[in-house]
Amino acid sequence: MSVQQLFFVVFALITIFSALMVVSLRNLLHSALWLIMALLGVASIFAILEASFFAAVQILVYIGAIAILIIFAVMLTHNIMSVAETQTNRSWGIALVMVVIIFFIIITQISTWPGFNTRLQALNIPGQDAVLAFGTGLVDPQGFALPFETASVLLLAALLGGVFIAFDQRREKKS
Amino acid sequence: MIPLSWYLILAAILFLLGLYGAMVRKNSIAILMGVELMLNAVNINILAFWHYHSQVNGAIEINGMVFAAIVVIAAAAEAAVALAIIISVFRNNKSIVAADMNTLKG
Amino acid sequence: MNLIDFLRDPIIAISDWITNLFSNWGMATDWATFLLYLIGAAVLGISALLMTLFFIWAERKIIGRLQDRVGPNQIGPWGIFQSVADMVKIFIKEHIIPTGVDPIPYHLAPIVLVASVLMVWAIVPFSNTVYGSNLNVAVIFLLAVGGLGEVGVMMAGWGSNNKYALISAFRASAQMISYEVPMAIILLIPVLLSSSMSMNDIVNAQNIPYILVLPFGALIFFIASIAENGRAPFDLAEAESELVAGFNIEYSGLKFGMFYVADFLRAFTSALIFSTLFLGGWKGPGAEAIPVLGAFYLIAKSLIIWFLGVWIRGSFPRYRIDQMMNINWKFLTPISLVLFMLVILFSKLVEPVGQNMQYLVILIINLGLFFLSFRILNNQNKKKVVAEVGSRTRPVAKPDNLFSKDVSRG
Repeated sequence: MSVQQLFFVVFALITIFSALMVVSLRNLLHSALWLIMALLGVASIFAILEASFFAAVQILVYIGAIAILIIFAVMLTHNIMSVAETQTNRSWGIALVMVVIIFFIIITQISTWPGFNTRLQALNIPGQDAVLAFGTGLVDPQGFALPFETASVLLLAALLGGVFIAFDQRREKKS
Repeated sequence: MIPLSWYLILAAILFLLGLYGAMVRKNSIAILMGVELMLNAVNINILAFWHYHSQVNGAIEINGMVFAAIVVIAAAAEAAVALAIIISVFRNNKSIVAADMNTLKG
Repeated sequence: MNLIDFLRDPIIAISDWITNLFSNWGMATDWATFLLYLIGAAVLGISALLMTLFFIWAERKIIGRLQDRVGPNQIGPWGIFQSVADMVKIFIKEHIIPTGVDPIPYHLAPIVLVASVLMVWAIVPFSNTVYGSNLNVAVIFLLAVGGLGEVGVMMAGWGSNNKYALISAFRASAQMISYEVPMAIILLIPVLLSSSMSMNDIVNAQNIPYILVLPFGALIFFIASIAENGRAPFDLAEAESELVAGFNIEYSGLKFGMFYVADFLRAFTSALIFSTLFLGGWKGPGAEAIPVLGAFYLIAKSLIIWFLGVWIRGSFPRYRIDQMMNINWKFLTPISLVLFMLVILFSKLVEPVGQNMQYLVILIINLGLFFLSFRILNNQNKKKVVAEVGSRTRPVAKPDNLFSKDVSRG
């Protein structure tokens, strides 16, 4: 087993274990911290895939912003659900069975694809080439300029919507 | 060299764990966490196929990267709006259990 | 000859020697590389942590002199072994765990915080041959690691089971998130000028240090990095002279020591980043032929910047929380956005003329914006009615602060 494979297995196990903790722990703050761990694991998987830009963006956006937001929300709504009461609804058993069945369906289906066992070689992208190609593709009118602009409008709308929804109640009370 | 299948199996496991979390958890923030896990699994898949296509074509594919970036942007927007909604619901109902959010039921 | 070659670039010589040793042992190449990186990371991290001992002593001494005190003077000449004694004291102190802490976040927080500082050292090029990693997205990595620090702060505040720690953690992370915005915008300008996000390329592109091209941008970055580090005058999350402590209030012994180390190391690390981005990093006369000189230049430049930070810490009064947020959202963020947009527009317009012309235009934009913002702030300051504190017969203390808006009157 090469070093890369060892790294992959270690990080994949960390990711899966953390994800398991995220969905199974009763203390929501602990699940949020395990979520950070899972996101870090995914970032290292991205780094192994030579998508270093996405590894850095994963840490920046998911851990630096989304996970912090989730932790804030957990803290603000903390005393509502006690740790003692069960955190899952009645249908967890059937959900588990369904998830396992779906897993086997997915695996059996994609393993029929001939490229399934392709070994990924190192791409050896020199320097900034990947990021440059990505950046020019995003602003190229022949490429993805429209989706990129739409995404920025989406972010702006989310920003305004988030502020509006979160502030609405307080304004009503004051007037 | 790591086979493509390893990434796909990892992504499938992560996606289904996220799906399980989103289906069975009562707390709406926990549901959101499950959704984040699912989005991450999708991104692993997309970037693994990006690597595969770049390797097969011998040139850097940008389609996969753009898809992954859009997923990240959508996740950020979704988390911001969803948490704002959850905080707003919490102010009104003093509860963030998804089953209690039934005041709009006809 | 051999000795001179060794002295010219000792780190690379040692690493070559270790690689040869491993390959003589019959180790596979990738394992040897992995082990080499592991050794390198350990050496870098340990030396950074040991340097902190010196920084703690130097900072206490300098602040002592600035405030007309002697500073540490008991142990060793000029008290130079004071921090070693402190370290020994902290090692043998009893480690008190308060009841009701949340164990995982409580114990993990100091480690996360120190790690988030040390991870920055991986991307700093110390000379043209010695660097941890020539990461092609180093600038994003820099911002991302700052996000990890926020996680550490939140974990400490939550895990301590203390409401004051939690309030302080909220304040500290709000401060860090806010000041990341102008910092990120200003970081984009060196990326733009060198057309690369890797630190090595940014250093290599600096024929003129970027501080001469964008002095105002460098100033904004410097202020934002002080605030991001949570040091005076922005240290209100853990104001030592007013509160007992910040989010680290429930920590004692070695864990408190780790917070302390992270705090002092972060100051030097941000100086290191500043000198890499704006002062030309390892560049200097003869640094390309003799790489070991480059490391000396980098450390010397960083020490100057670090001293500026200590100087500010020793002489400025602390801001209030609303003033701090006002400085960021009403001044630094808009002005850095304007600067960034003007730089994009004009550097693209004059790009055909040549690089020197481009630099000149950017410099003029910087200076113009600096004087404009200075005038605006001054005018705002003149309009304000400032209540005088104290009696008429005695010398009057007058709180004149550029950013304070509401001053309580009588």
